[in-house]
Amino acid sequence: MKKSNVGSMVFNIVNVTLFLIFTLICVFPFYYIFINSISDNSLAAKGAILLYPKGIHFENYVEVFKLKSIGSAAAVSVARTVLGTLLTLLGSSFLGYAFAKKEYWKRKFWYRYVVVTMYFSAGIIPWFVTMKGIGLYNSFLAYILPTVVSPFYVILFKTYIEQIPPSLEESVQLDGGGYAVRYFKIILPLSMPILATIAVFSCSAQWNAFLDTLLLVRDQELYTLQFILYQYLSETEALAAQMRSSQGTVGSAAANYVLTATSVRMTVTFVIILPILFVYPFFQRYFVSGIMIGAIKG
Amino acid sequence: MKKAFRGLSVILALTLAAGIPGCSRNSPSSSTESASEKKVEQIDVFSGGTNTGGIVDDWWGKAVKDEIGVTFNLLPCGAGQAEQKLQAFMASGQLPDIIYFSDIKDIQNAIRGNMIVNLDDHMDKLPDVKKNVPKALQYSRDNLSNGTGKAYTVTNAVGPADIYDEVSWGPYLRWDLYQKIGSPAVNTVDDYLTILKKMQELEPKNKDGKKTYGISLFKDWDGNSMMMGTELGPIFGVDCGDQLAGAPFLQVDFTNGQTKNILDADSWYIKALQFYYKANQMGLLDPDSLTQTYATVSDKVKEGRVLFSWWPWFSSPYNTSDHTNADNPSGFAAVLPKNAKGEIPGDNNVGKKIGIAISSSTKKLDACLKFVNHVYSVEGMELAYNGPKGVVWDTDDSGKQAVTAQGWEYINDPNKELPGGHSLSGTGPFGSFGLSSAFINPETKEPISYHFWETTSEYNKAHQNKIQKSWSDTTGYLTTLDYVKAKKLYVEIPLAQSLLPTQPDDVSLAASRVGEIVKTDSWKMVFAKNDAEFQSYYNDMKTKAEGLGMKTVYDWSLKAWKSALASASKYQ
Repeated sequence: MKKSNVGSMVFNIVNVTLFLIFTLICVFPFYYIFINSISDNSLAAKGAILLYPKGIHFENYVEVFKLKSIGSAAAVSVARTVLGTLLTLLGSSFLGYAFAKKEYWKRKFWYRYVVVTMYFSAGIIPWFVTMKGIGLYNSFLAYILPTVVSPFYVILFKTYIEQIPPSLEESVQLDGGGYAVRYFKIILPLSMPILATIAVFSCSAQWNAFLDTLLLVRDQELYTLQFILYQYLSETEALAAQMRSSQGTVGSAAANYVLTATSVRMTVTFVIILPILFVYPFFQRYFVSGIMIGAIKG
Repeated sequence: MKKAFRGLSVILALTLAAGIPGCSRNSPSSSTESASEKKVEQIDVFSGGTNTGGIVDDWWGKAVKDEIGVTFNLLPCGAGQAEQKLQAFMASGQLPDIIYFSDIKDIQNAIRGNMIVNLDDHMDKLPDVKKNVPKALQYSRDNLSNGTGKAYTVTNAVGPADIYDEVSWGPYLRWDLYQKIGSPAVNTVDDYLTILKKMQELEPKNKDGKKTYGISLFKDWDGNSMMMGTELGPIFGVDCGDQLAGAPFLQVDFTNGQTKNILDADSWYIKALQFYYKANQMGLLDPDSLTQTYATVSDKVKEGRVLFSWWPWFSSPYNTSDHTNADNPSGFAAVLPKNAKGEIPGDNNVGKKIGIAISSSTKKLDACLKFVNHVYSVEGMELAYNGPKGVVWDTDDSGKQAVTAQGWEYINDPNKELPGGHSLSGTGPFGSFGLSSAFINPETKEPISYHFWETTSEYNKAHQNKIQKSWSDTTGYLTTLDYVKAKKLYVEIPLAQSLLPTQPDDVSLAASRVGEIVKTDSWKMVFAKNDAEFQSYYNDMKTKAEGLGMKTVYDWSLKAWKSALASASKYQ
């Protein structure tokens, strides 16, 4: 008896320690960014802030919110995340539901046709030419339309629906319910866990996307928060790329570049990652409920 | 359940409603000014030489709006993504209103695809271009027209050499420490190492207690070779790839025209590696050099942790007035070796390869033409180089130009904002000025930029900081440029440098393959533990480079240089 107690105690200690270290490794980068954004700017630039903030002030946050176009960028980012996720959920889940129906005409073919697009990508330039060709250049719809049907989410949803007992649907069908009624009244409410999963993925993807802004957007009003951050963080890389490709005097080009202070970049980073940090906890309750639903065999 | 259905349909409706305004994003971007008669038009600009984006709303943007009625929407291009974005635009066949090209291949493709406007058809709207840069136009017709003989693009920075008070290469040392150790003469390059060692011993830590280093390097600007390895030769007029990045692995001695491969045992590139290797053996080299970026080293310079600099702009962040005018002044100044022949820019009637062009699908051709003309006009360049008239500078009754007292504040404080927004430098025509800053203004007979005005010289003489004063008293000259010119310690970079032909694809591919080996082994050589290791890395580099196609690249580079020399003689 005693031996197993000692054994399990040792195991617990090692287990907890390992996970504490792992947690620290995950949490420390956020902590580091946060303390650098509230510390004295010159200390942050020197890299002197490591474990705790020095010279605490919140000027950086005031400055960041005064940046031109950050208000509209925030609105655009929020709009695309909310609308884009909603559309993705509706579109991908309905297609998943359709593929789960055996009476779908040539189901196997269409399903594989959709899935194969997940494996192949023609690259950035054909993508750009396509988007321009269908009129999505410099339009807000370019942010939300392309993701309405996403093969990965379609697969997830189809697999999930297939393990919902068909008797539930049949009962509504017998009462005269069509596909739409069955979908909205039975399937969707039962699929909360998988919808929440897809929502989290989709929110993250929408919030973090910047390549579409970079290539497809012309008007400043359509810039997203992520894009503004990208511009700040890529300044030094842009300078390096310019130097590497420049065929002239190394020095004069350096003068044309404006390098923002480290602390301002830290602040912008923190402001932008904060909203998405809250998405997962918000959706977590949907994961728990209904996860056991497939286990009960009646 | 019914409620949920209703709720969902409401959300769907809202979605559609929100999406519709997004559809009409293509709102007309020309607005009419109700106050004035002039119509203001907005044009899109794409330039790889910028790292910001959006409407240009600073003092320069506003001043240009007042002068020619054009405002700008700068399309963002991100870090190193400019080339990719340009390729995407070209693939779709429609370029933004104004584009800046930096690669001849892109220009040729654009001409072939009818994507840019033939400027010769509109020369009546480009009077300043015709008047000020005729040779550059001719160069464009001969070389940048895909064989059609018409001018589609105009190159930039056309005019006499624009060197200010400092030269392109020094080197620059911490003058205060140099004087404290007795200002020993520099006869050979290795003398710098002994000097740096003594200076480092004098100041082993900066005021924050962090270690100082004689030399600190960075690697993020490496192209086809270790960039820092190409910086020793230019002090003696030998270029190993700094100005000749377009001719990989070629070393040209500008003083006598001799050529060599940079991997030869007696090349200046290898000499530079030996210089750094010895510095490392003596404890002078920052061990972070292998991994750090330019931004990090620049911060170290600001904090006084670096004692040596090849270039003046690299060390000038340290030369703030709280250092140079302190009670114990400290700062960087030039300390040249005895037989220096520093490379300085030569006059350039042909311009650098970065070319401005107008898209053939633009709906605002007049506005674009006005802008192109503006960038090659004396008034336009006066604004871009000096800031707005009446704020930063003014002309007195005799027509002489001078910087105002307020203007000096803007010049000396890089963070001070002009009325209208933004500091004096870091804005302007998208990283590419049409005329060089030394272009002579035909009205005042002085160069455009305030750096060259007589009044500026007088101001500088009266306002030297303690370090500059000490340097002037020691050498007997006002500026480093005066010193170098008087003692003939310079050589002009030949015009051929900007006339190198484009590399064909097979040469660029081979060059980047060989470049990977050269870069890795060069850094290893610098940090080698002993002479035997240094030699073994060198042998490894040479053998591998030869195996990967060094001969193909070098032969092409040599041929390219010879043809550049030949075409330079045409535009001299």
